[in-house]
Amino acid sequence: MDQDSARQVTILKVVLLVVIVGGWELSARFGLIPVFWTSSPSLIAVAFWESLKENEITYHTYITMQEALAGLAAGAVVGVMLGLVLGVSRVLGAALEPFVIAMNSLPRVALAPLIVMFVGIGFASKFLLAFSLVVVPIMLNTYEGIKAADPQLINMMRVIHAKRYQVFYKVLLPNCVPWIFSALRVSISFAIIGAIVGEFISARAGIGYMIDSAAGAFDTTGMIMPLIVLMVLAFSIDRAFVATSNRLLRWRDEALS
Amino acid sequence: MDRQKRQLQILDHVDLTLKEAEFVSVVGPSGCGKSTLLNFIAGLTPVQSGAVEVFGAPPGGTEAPLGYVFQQHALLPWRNVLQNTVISLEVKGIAKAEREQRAREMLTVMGLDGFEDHFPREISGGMRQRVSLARTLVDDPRLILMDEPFGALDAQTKLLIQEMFLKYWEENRKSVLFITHDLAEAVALADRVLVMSSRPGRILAEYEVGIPRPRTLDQVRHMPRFTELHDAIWEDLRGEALKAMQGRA
Repeated sequence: MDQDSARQVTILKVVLLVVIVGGWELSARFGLIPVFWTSSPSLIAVAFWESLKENEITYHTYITMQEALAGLAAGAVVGVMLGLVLGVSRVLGAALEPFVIAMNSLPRVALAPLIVMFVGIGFASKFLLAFSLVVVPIMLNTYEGIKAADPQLINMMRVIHAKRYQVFYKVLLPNCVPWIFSALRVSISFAIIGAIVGEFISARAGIGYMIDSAAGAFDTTGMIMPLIVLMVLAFSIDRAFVATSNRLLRWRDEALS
Repeated sequence: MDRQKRQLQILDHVDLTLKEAEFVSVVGPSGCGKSTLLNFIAGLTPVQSGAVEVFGAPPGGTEAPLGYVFQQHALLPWRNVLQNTVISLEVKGIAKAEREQRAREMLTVMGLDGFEDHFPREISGGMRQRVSLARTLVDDPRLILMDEPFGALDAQTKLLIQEMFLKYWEENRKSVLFITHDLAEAVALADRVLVMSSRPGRILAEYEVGIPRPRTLDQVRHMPRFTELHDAIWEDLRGEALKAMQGRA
Protein backbone atom coordinates (compact mmCIF):
# COMPACT_ATOMS: atom_id res chain seq x y z
CA MET A 1 0.00 0.00 0.00
CA ASP A 2 1.47 3.39 -0.95
CA GLN A 3 1.62 6.37 1.39
CA ASP A 4 -1.40 8.13 -0.07
CA SER A 5 -3.79 5.24 0.38
CA ALA A 6 -2.29 4.49 3.80
CA ARG A 7 -3.24 8.01 4.84
CA GLN A 8 -6.71 7.60 3.37
CA VAL A 9 -7.17 4.44 5.41
CA THR A 10 -6.10 6.21 8.61
CA ILE A 11 -8.51 9.06 7.95
CA LEU A 12 -11.32 6.63 7.19
CA LYS A 13 -10.67 4.73 10.43
CA VAL A 14 -10.96 7.94 12.48
CA VAL A 15 -14.10 8.99 10.57
CA LEU A 16 -15.71 5.60 11.23
CA LEU A 17 -14.93 5.79 14.93
CA VAL A 18 -16.37 9.32 15.18
CA VAL A 19 -19.50 8.37 13.21
CA ILE A 20 -20.20 5.29 15.32
CA VAL A 21 -19.56 6.85 18.72
CA GLY A 22 -21.03 10.24 17.76
CA GLY A 23 -24.09 8.69 16.12
CA TRP A 24 -24.73 6.56 19.19
CA GLU A 25 -24.38 9.54 21.54
CA LEU A 26 -26.55 11.87 19.46
CA SER A 27 -29.31 9.29 18.93
CA ALA A 28 -29.36 8.74 22.68
CA ARG A 29 -29.47 12.49 23.43
CA PHE A 30 -32.30 13.17 20.97
CA GLY A 31 -34.27 10.20 22.21
CA LEU A 32 -34.03 8.26 18.94
CA ILE A 33 -32.92 5.21 20.87
CA PRO A 34 -33.96 4.36 24.43
CA VAL A 35 -31.03 4.89 26.80
CA PHE A 36 -32.42 2.21 29.10
CA TRP A 37 -31.75 -0.51 26.49
CA THR A 38 -28.66 0.75 24.70
CA SER A 39 -26.99 3.19 27.12
CA SER A 40 -24.82 5.90 25.56
CA PRO A 41 -21.10 6.69 25.24
CA SER A 42 -21.28 9.50 27.79
CA LEU A 43 -23.08 7.30 30.33
CA ILE A 44 -20.48 4.60 29.77
CA ALA A 45 -17.62 7.08 30.15
CA VAL A 46 -19.06 8.36 33.44
CA ALA A 47 -19.63 4.82 34.72
CA PHE A 48 -16.07 3.96 33.76
CA TRP A 49 -14.71 6.97 35.63
CA GLU A 50 -16.72 6.15 38.78
CA SER A 51 -15.67 2.55 38.63
CA LEU A 52 -12.05 3.54 38.14
CA LYS A 53 -12.15 5.82 41.19
CA GLU A 54 -13.41 2.96 43.34
CA ASN A 55 -10.80 0.66 41.86
CA GLU A 56 -13.59 -1.68 40.84
CA ILE A 57 -13.06 -2.05 37.08
CA THR A 58 -9.28 -2.35 37.51
CA TYR A 59 -9.70 -5.13 40.06
CA HIS A 60 -12.15 -7.16 37.98
CA THR A 61 -10.13 -6.65 34.81
CA TYR A 62 -7.05 -7.83 36.65
CA ILE A 63 -8.85 -10.98 37.81
CA THR A 64 -10.14 -11.83 34.32
CA MET A 65 -6.84 -11.12 32.58
CA GLN A 66 -5.00 -13.19 35.15
CA GLU A 67 -7.26 -16.17 34.45
CA ALA A 68 -7.09 -15.70 30.70
CA LEU A 69 -3.34 -15.11 30.43
CA ALA A 70 -2.49 -17.97 32.79
CA GLY A 71 -4.69 -20.27 30.70
CA LEU A 72 -3.11 -18.94 27.52
CA ALA A 73 0.43 -19.44 28.77
CA ALA A 74 -0.19 -22.94 30.07
CA GLY A 75 -2.19 -23.87 26.96
CA ALA A 76 0.59 -22.58 24.72
CA VAL A 77 3.35 -24.50 26.49
CA VAL A 78 1.40 -27.75 26.65
CA GLY A 79 -0.03 -27.31 23.13
CA VAL A 80 3.37 -26.68 21.56
CA MET A 81 4.90 -29.66 23.34
CA LEU A 82 2.07 -32.02 22.36
CA GLY A 83 2.18 -30.72 18.79
CA LEU A 84 5.91 -31.33 18.58
CA VAL A 85 5.58 -34.86 19.93
CA LEU A 86 2.79 -35.64 17.48
CA GLY A 87 4.74 -34.10 14.60
CA VAL A 88 8.01 -35.86 15.33
CA SER A 89 6.57 -39.29 16.05
CA ARG A 90 4.78 -40.28 12.87
CA VAL A 91 3.05 -43.33 14.36
CA LEU A 92 1.79 -41.49 17.43
CA GLY A 93 0.78 -38.49 15.33
CA ALA A 94 -1.26 -40.54 12.88
CA ALA A 95 -2.85 -42.58 15.68
CA LEU A 96 -3.87 -39.59 17.79
CA GLU A 97 -5.00 -37.34 14.95
CA PRO A 98 -8.67 -38.42 14.89
CA PHE A 99 -8.96 -38.04 18.67
CA VAL A 100 -7.47 -34.58 18.57
CA ILE A 101 -9.83 -33.52 15.80
CA ALA A 102 -12.81 -34.95 17.70
CA MET A 103 -11.70 -33.01 20.79
CA ASN A 104 -11.37 -29.90 18.69
CA SER A 105 -14.86 -30.19 17.23
CA LEU A 106 -16.29 -30.39 20.75
CA PRO A 107 -17.77 -27.01 21.78
CA ARG A 108 -15.47 -26.62 24.78
CA VAL A 109 -17.46 -23.89 26.50
CA ALA A 110 -20.02 -26.64 27.04
CA LEU A 111 -17.43 -28.26 29.30
CA ALA A 112 -17.75 -25.31 31.69
CA PRO A 113 -20.34 -26.81 34.08
CA LEU A 114 -18.35 -30.02 34.26
CA ILE A 115 -15.13 -28.16 34.99
CA VAL A 116 -16.81 -26.06 37.70
CA MET A 117 -18.14 -29.25 39.23
CA PHE A 118 -14.64 -30.74 39.27
CA VAL A 119 -12.55 -27.83 40.56
CA GLY A 120 -15.00 -25.38 42.10
CA ILE A 121 -15.82 -21.77 41.32
CA GLY A 122 -12.43 -20.19 42.02
CA PHE A 123 -9.51 -19.33 39.79
CA ALA A 124 -8.95 -22.96 38.72
CA SER A 125 -12.19 -23.34 36.77
CA LYS A 126 -11.61 -20.20 34.65
CA PHE A 127 -7.99 -21.09 34.14
CA LEU A 128 -8.91 -24.61 32.99
CA LEU A 129 -11.61 -23.35 30.67
CA ALA A 130 -9.23 -20.86 29.04
CA PHE A 131 -6.60 -23.60 28.84
CA SER A 132 -9.00 -26.06 27.20
CA LEU A 133 -9.95 -23.51 24.54
CA VAL A 134 -6.33 -22.68 23.76
CA VAL A 135 -4.45 -25.95 23.93
CA VAL A 136 -6.03 -27.78 21.00
CA PRO A 137 -5.63 -25.11 18.29
CA ILE A 138 -2.04 -24.47 19.35
CA MET A 139 -1.29 -28.18 19.31
CA LEU A 140 -2.88 -28.65 15.88
CA ASN A 141 -1.01 -25.70 14.38
CA THR A 142 2.33 -26.85 15.78
CA TYR A 143 1.67 -30.31 14.36
CA GLU A 144 0.77 -28.83 10.97
CA GLY A 145 3.88 -26.66 11.07
CA ILE A 146 6.05 -29.74 11.42
CA LYS A 147 4.19 -31.66 8.73
CA ALA A 148 4.50 -28.68 6.37
CA ALA A 149 8.31 -28.66 6.46
CA ASP A 150 9.69 -28.75 2.92
CA PRO A 151 11.02 -32.29 2.23
CA GLN A 152 13.75 -30.72 0.11
CA LEU A 153 15.13 -29.02 3.24
CA ILE A 154 15.15 -32.35 5.07
CA ASN A 155 16.98 -33.95 2.14
CA MET A 156 19.51 -31.14 2.21
CA MET A 157 20.10 -31.79 5.91
CA ARG A 158 20.49 -35.52 5.27
CA VAL A 159 23.09 -34.91 2.57
CA ILE A 160 25.22 -32.91 5.02
CA HIS A 161 24.82 -35.75 7.54
CA ALA A 162 22.77 -33.79 10.06
CA LYS A 163 21.73 -35.82 13.09
CA ARG A 164 18.05 -36.23 13.87
CA TYR A 165 18.15 -33.68 16.65
CA GLN A 166 19.88 -31.21 14.30
CA VAL A 167 17.13 -31.64 11.72
CA PHE A 168 14.64 -31.00 14.50
CA TYR A 169 16.29 -27.86 15.88
CA LYS A 170 17.44 -26.36 12.60
CA VAL A 171 14.51 -27.19 10.30
CA LEU A 172 11.36 -28.57 11.96
CA LEU A 173 11.25 -26.24 14.95
CA PRO A 174 11.89 -22.95 13.08
CA ASN A 175 9.38 -24.11 10.47
CA CYS A 176 6.55 -24.27 13.01
CA VAL A 177 7.27 -20.90 14.63
CA PRO A 178 5.00 -18.91 12.25
CA TRP A 179 2.30 -21.57 12.68
CA ILE A 180 2.55 -21.30 16.46
CA PHE A 181 2.40 -17.50 16.28
CA SER A 182 -0.76 -17.46 14.22
CA ALA A 183 -2.38 -19.95 16.63
CA LEU A 184 -1.29 -17.81 19.58
CA ARG A 185 -2.92 -14.78 18.03
CA VAL A 186 -6.39 -16.33 17.80
CA SER A 187 -5.83 -17.92 21.20
CA ILE A 188 -5.71 -14.53 22.93
CA SER A 189 -9.43 -14.06 22.38
CA PHE A 190 -10.14 -17.77 23.02
CA ALA A 191 -8.52 -17.46 26.43
CA ILE A 192 -10.61 -14.40 27.29
CA ILE A 193 -13.76 -16.21 26.16
CA GLY A 194 -12.85 -19.10 28.42
CA ALA A 195 -12.34 -16.87 31.45
CA ILE A 196 -15.57 -14.92 30.88
CA VAL A 197 -17.71 -18.00 30.33
CA GLY A 198 -16.25 -19.48 33.50
CA GLU A 199 -17.21 -16.33 35.38
CA PHE A 200 -20.75 -16.44 33.98
CA ILE A 201 -21.25 -19.93 35.37
CA SER A 202 -20.33 -18.74 38.82
CA ALA A 203 -17.77 -16.38 40.25
CA ARG A 204 -17.14 -13.74 42.86
CA ALA A 205 -14.99 -11.47 40.70
CA GLY A 206 -14.00 -10.69 37.12
CA ILE A 207 -15.46 -8.95 34.10
CA GLY A 208 -17.93 -11.79 33.58
CA TYR A 209 -19.09 -11.40 37.16
CA MET A 210 -19.48 -7.63 36.69
CA ILE A 211 -21.60 -8.13 33.57
CA ASP A 212 -23.68 -10.81 35.24
CA SER A 213 -24.37 -8.63 38.30
CA ALA A 214 -25.27 -5.62 36.15
CA ALA A 215 -27.64 -7.84 34.11
CA GLY A 216 -29.40 -8.79 37.35
CA ALA A 217 -30.05 -5.09 37.99
CA PHE A 218 -31.13 -4.31 34.37
CA ASP A 219 -28.16 -1.93 34.20
CA THR A 220 -27.17 -1.80 30.50
CA THR A 221 -24.44 0.77 31.09
CA GLY A 222 -22.97 -1.50 33.75
CA MET A 223 -23.00 -4.39 31.24
CA ILE A 224 -21.52 -2.53 28.29
CA MET A 225 -18.79 -0.61 30.11
CA PRO A 226 -16.73 -3.67 31.16
CA LEU A 227 -17.22 -5.12 27.66
CA ILE A 228 -15.66 -2.04 26.11
CA VAL A 229 -12.77 -2.12 28.56
CA LEU A 230 -12.18 -5.75 27.63
CA MET A 231 -12.40 -4.98 23.93
CA VAL A 232 -9.85 -2.17 24.12
CA LEU A 233 -7.55 -4.35 26.18
CA ALA A 234 -7.78 -7.37 23.85
CA PHE A 235 -7.28 -5.12 20.85
CA SER A 236 -4.12 -3.61 22.35
CA ILE A 237 -2.71 -7.03 23.16
CA ASP A 238 -3.40 -8.15 19.59
CA ARG A 239 -1.63 -5.07 18.13
CA ALA A 240 1.38 -5.57 20.38
CA PHE A 241 1.47 -9.25 19.48
CA VAL A 242 1.29 -8.60 15.74
CA ALA A 243 4.05 -5.99 15.94
CA THR A 244 6.31 -8.36 17.88
CA SER A 245 5.59 -11.26 15.59
CA ASN A 246 6.32 -9.23 12.45
CA ARG A 247 9.61 -8.11 13.95
CA LEU A 248 10.61 -11.66 14.88
CA LEU A 249 9.45 -13.21 11.61
CA ARG A 250 11.06 -10.70 9.31
CA TRP A 251 12.18 -13.57 7.05
CA ARG A 252 8.60 -14.37 6.03
CA ASP A 253 7.13 -13.32 2.73
CA GLU A 254 3.90 -11.93 4.07
CA ALA A 255 3.47 -10.02 7.31
CA LEU A 256 0.43 -10.23 9.58
CA SER A 257 -1.83 -7.21 9.75
CA MET B 1 0.62 -42.55 3.99
CA ASP B 2 1.84 -43.94 0.71
CA ARG B 3 1.60 -47.60 1.65
CA GLN B 4 0.33 -48.57 -1.81
CA LYS B 5 3.14 -46.87 -3.70
CA ARG B 6 3.47 -48.54 -7.06
CA GLN B 7 6.65 -50.42 -7.75
CA LEU B 8 8.16 -48.79 -10.78
CA GLN B 9 11.31 -49.63 -12.58
CA ILE B 10 12.97 -46.27 -12.84
CA LEU B 11 16.47 -47.17 -13.92
CA ASP B 12 17.62 -50.09 -16.03
CA HIS B 13 21.22 -51.32 -16.07
CA VAL B 14 22.80 -47.95 -15.53
CA ASP B 15 26.52 -48.56 -15.27
CA LEU B 16 28.48 -45.45 -14.56
CA THR B 17 31.89 -44.74 -13.09
CA LEU B 18 33.06 -41.26 -12.33
CA LYS B 19 36.77 -40.54 -12.37
CA GLU B 20 38.40 -38.28 -9.81
CA ALA B 21 38.09 -34.63 -10.86
CA GLU B 22 35.93 -35.51 -13.84
CA PHE B 23 32.92 -33.44 -14.92
CA VAL B 24 30.16 -35.65 -16.29
CA SER B 25 26.85 -34.36 -17.58
CA VAL B 26 23.76 -36.51 -17.92
CA VAL B 27 21.04 -35.48 -20.35
CA GLY B 28 17.76 -37.23 -20.92
CA PRO B 29 14.04 -36.65 -21.43
CA SER B 30 12.05 -35.48 -18.43
CA GLY B 31 11.07 -38.24 -16.05
CA CYS B 32 13.82 -40.63 -17.14
CA GLY B 33 15.09 -41.15 -13.61
CA LYS B 34 17.98 -38.71 -13.67
CA SER B 35 17.16 -37.31 -10.27
CA THR B 36 16.64 -40.80 -8.87
CA LEU B 37 20.17 -41.61 -9.95
CA LEU B 38 21.49 -38.71 -7.88
CA ASN B 39 19.35 -39.67 -4.90
CA PHE B 40 20.79 -43.19 -5.03
CA ILE B 41 24.33 -41.83 -4.99
CA ALA B 42 23.57 -39.36 -2.21
CA GLY B 43 22.01 -42.13 -0.13
CA LEU B 44 18.64 -40.35 -0.01
CA THR B 45 16.83 -43.23 -1.76
CA PRO B 46 17.75 -46.81 -0.91
CA VAL B 47 18.86 -48.87 -3.90
CA GLN B 48 16.49 -51.74 -4.72
CA SER B 49 18.86 -53.80 -6.84
CA GLY B 50 22.39 -53.24 -7.96
CA ALA B 51 25.19 -51.46 -6.21
CA VAL B 52 26.32 -47.89 -5.67
CA GLU B 53 29.72 -47.06 -4.26
CA VAL B 54 30.96 -43.59 -3.38
CA PHE B 55 34.74 -43.51 -3.01
CA GLY B 56 34.68 -47.20 -2.17
CA ALA B 57 31.97 -46.92 0.51
CA PRO B 58 28.20 -47.43 0.46
CA PRO B 59 26.20 -44.24 -0.26
CA GLY B 60 25.10 -42.04 2.63
CA GLY B 61 28.22 -42.70 4.69
CA THR B 62 29.88 -39.88 6.57
CA GLU B 63 33.33 -40.68 5.15
CA ALA B 64 32.48 -39.48 1.68
CA PRO B 65 32.45 -35.67 1.41
CA LEU B 66 29.63 -35.18 -1.02
CA GLY B 67 27.74 -32.09 -2.09
CA TYR B 68 24.28 -31.88 -3.63
CA VAL B 69 22.93 -28.82 -5.43
CA PHE B 70 19.18 -29.16 -5.76
CA GLN B 71 17.00 -27.90 -8.56
CA GLN B 72 15.25 -25.58 -6.12
CA HIS B 73 17.69 -23.73 -3.91
CA ALA B 74 16.60 -25.51 -0.68
CA LEU B 75 17.70 -22.57 1.47
CA LEU B 76 16.34 -22.24 5.00
CA PRO B 77 14.04 -19.20 4.76
CA TRP B 78 14.63 -18.11 8.37
CA ARG B 79 18.40 -17.97 7.95
CA ASN B 80 20.20 -15.16 6.22
CA VAL B 81 22.68 -15.75 3.40
CA LEU B 82 25.66 -16.23 5.71
CA GLN B 83 23.79 -18.52 8.11
CA ASN B 84 22.60 -20.60 5.17
CA THR B 85 26.10 -20.92 3.78
CA VAL B 86 27.60 -22.19 7.04
CA ILE B 87 24.98 -24.87 7.70
CA SER B 88 27.06 -27.91 6.71
CA LEU B 89 30.05 -26.68 8.71
CA GLU B 90 27.76 -25.91 11.64
CA VAL B 91 26.31 -29.42 11.55
CA LYS B 92 29.86 -30.80 11.61
CA GLY B 93 30.64 -28.74 14.70
CA ILE B 94 33.25 -26.44 13.20
CA ALA B 95 33.89 -23.34 15.33
CA LYS B 96 31.82 -20.28 14.52
CA ALA B 97 34.72 -17.98 13.62
CA GLU B 98 36.21 -20.49 11.20
CA ARG B 99 32.96 -21.48 9.52
CA GLU B 100 31.94 -17.87 9.01
CA GLN B 101 35.30 -16.96 7.55
CA ARG B 102 35.14 -19.88 5.10
CA ALA B 103 31.56 -18.98 4.19
CA ARG B 104 32.47 -15.34 3.55
CA GLU B 105 35.29 -16.40 1.25
CA MET B 106 32.99 -18.68 -0.72
CA LEU B 107 30.32 -15.99 -0.95
CA THR B 108 32.95 -13.66 -2.40
CA VAL B 109 33.79 -16.26 -5.05
CA MET B 110 30.08 -16.35 -5.92
CA GLY B 111 29.93 -12.55 -6.08
CA LEU B 112 27.66 -12.21 -3.07
CA ASP B 113 29.67 -9.76 -0.97
CA GLY B 114 27.44 -7.44 0.98
CA PHE B 115 24.44 -9.78 0.92
CA GLU B 116 25.41 -11.82 4.00
CA ASP B 117 22.59 -10.35 6.10
CA HIS B 118 19.83 -10.75 3.53
CA PHE B 119 17.12 -13.35 3.91
CA PRO B 120 16.43 -15.62 0.91
CA ARG B 121 13.16 -13.84 0.18
CA GLU B 122 15.04 -10.56 -0.18
CA ILE B 123 17.35 -11.68 -3.02
CA SER B 124 16.76 -12.74 -6.64
CA GLY B 125 16.38 -16.31 -7.86
CA GLY B 126 19.84 -16.26 -9.40
CA MET B 127 21.38 -15.08 -6.15
CA ARG B 128 19.56 -17.76 -4.21
CA GLN B 129 20.99 -20.41 -6.46
CA ARG B 130 24.47 -18.91 -5.98
CA VAL B 131 24.00 -19.10 -2.21
CA SER B 132 22.97 -22.70 -2.69
CA LEU B 133 26.19 -23.30 -4.67
CA ALA B 134 28.29 -21.53 -2.04
CA ARG B 135 26.69 -23.63 0.68
CA THR B 136 27.64 -26.81 -1.19
CA LEU B 137 31.17 -25.75 -2.15
CA VAL B 138 32.15 -24.33 1.25
CA ASP B 139 32.26 -27.89 2.58
CA ASP B 140 34.92 -28.70 -0.05
CA PRO B 141 33.16 -31.83 -1.33
CA ARG B 142 35.08 -34.37 -3.41
CA LEU B 143 32.00 -35.20 -5.42
CA ILE B 144 29.28 -32.73 -6.34
CA LEU B 145 25.87 -33.91 -7.49
CA MET B 146 23.90 -31.27 -9.36
CA ASP B 147 20.24 -31.70 -10.30
CA GLU B 148 19.38 -29.21 -13.03
CA PRO B 149 20.83 -26.49 -10.81
CA PHE B 150 20.38 -23.70 -13.34
CA GLY B 151 17.14 -24.97 -14.90
CA ALA B 152 14.83 -22.51 -13.16
CA LEU B 153 16.83 -19.38 -14.06
CA ASP B 154 16.28 -16.92 -16.89
CA ALA B 155 18.68 -17.11 -19.83
CA GLN B 156 21.06 -14.27 -18.90
CA THR B 157 21.32 -15.19 -15.23
CA LYS B 158 21.91 -18.77 -16.27
CA LEU B 159 24.86 -17.81 -18.52
CA LEU B 160 26.47 -15.73 -15.77
CA ILE B 161 26.17 -18.46 -13.17
CA GLN B 162 27.45 -21.08 -15.60
CA GLU B 163 30.53 -18.90 -16.24
CA MET B 164 31.04 -18.48 -12.52
CA PHE B 165 30.74 -22.16 -11.80
CA LEU B 166 32.92 -23.14 -14.77
CA LYS B 167 35.68 -20.86 -13.52
CA TYR B 168 35.41 -22.24 -10.00
CA TRP B 169 35.50 -25.81 -11.25
CA GLU B 170 38.48 -25.32 -13.53
CA GLU B 171 40.44 -23.91 -10.59
CA ASN B 172 39.35 -26.56 -8.09
CA ARG B 173 38.58 -29.70 -10.14
CA LYS B 174 36.06 -31.74 -8.18
CA SER B 175 34.20 -34.75 -9.49
CA VAL B 176 30.87 -33.49 -10.76
CA LEU B 177 27.78 -35.37 -11.86
CA PHE B 178 25.62 -32.76 -13.54
CA ILE B 179 22.05 -33.49 -14.53
CA THR B 180 20.45 -31.23 -17.08
CA HIS B 181 18.01 -31.16 -19.95
CA ASP B 182 19.95 -28.35 -21.62
CA LEU B 183 22.22 -29.91 -24.26
CA ALA B 184 24.33 -26.81 -24.76
CA GLU B 185 24.98 -26.60 -21.03
CA ALA B 186 25.86 -30.29 -20.85
CA VAL B 187 28.43 -30.04 -23.65
CA ALA B 188 29.90 -26.69 -22.69
CA LEU B 189 30.63 -27.60 -19.07
CA ALA B 190 31.48 -31.31 -19.07
CA ASP B 191 34.33 -33.64 -19.92
CA ARG B 192 31.92 -36.44 -20.74
CA VAL B 193 28.21 -36.44 -21.65
CA LEU B 194 25.89 -39.38 -21.00
CA VAL B 195 22.57 -39.63 -22.80
CA MET B 196 19.75 -41.41 -21.00
CA SER B 197 16.64 -43.00 -22.48
CA SER B 198 13.09 -42.40 -21.32
CA ARG B 199 11.84 -44.49 -18.42
CA PRO B 200 13.13 -46.98 -17.43
CA GLY B 201 16.32 -44.99 -17.86
CA ARG B 202 19.23 -46.61 -19.66
CA ILE B 203 22.43 -45.04 -20.86
CA LEU B 204 21.93 -44.70 -24.62
CA ALA B 205 25.21 -43.13 -25.58
CA GLU B 206 28.33 -41.62 -24.17
CA TYR B 207 30.48 -38.80 -25.64
CA GLU B 208 33.91 -37.53 -24.68
CA VAL B 209 33.67 -33.79 -25.16
CA GLY B 210 37.38 -33.20 -25.80
CA ILE B 211 37.19 -29.41 -25.85
CA PRO B 212 40.34 -28.06 -24.16
CA ARG B 213 40.22 -26.12 -20.90
CA PRO B 214 40.13 -23.45 -19.66
CA ARG B 215 36.96 -22.79 -21.59
CA THR B 216 34.78 -19.76 -21.88
CA LEU B 217 31.16 -20.26 -22.78
CA ASP B 218 31.24 -17.81 -25.71
CA GLN B 219 34.16 -19.52 -27.35
CA VAL B 220 32.85 -23.03 -26.79
CA ARG B 221 29.57 -22.28 -28.49
CA HIS B 222 31.31 -21.36 -31.75
CA MET B 223 33.56 -24.41 -31.95
CA PRO B 224 32.79 -27.00 -34.61
CA ARG B 225 33.22 -29.75 -32.00
CA PHE B 226 30.46 -28.17 -29.92
CA THR B 227 28.01 -28.07 -32.83
CA GLU B 228 28.93 -31.59 -33.84
CA LEU B 229 28.31 -32.99 -30.32
CA HIS B 230 25.17 -30.95 -29.86
CA ASP B 231 23.71 -32.35 -33.08
CA ALA B 232 24.74 -35.92 -32.32
CA ILE B 233 23.19 -35.84 -28.84
CA TRP B 234 20.01 -34.24 -30.12
CA GLU B 235 19.78 -37.03 -32.70
CA ASP B 236 19.95 -39.58 -29.85
CA LEU B 237 17.49 -37.72 -27.68
CA ARG B 238 14.89 -36.75 -30.23
CA GLY B 239 13.19 -40.13 -30.35
CA GLU B 240 13.32 -40.51 -26.56
CA ALA B 241 11.94 -37.05 -25.94
CA LEU B 242 9.04 -37.81 -28.26
CA LYS B 243 8.36 -41.08 -26.45
CA ALA B 244 8.42 -39.32 -23.09
CA MET B 245 6.06 -36.66 -24.40
CA GLN B 246 3.57 -39.18 -25.77
CA GLY B 247 3.76 -41.09 -22.50
CA ARG B 248 2.52 -37.97 -20.77
CA ALA B 249 -0.11 -36.89 -23.26
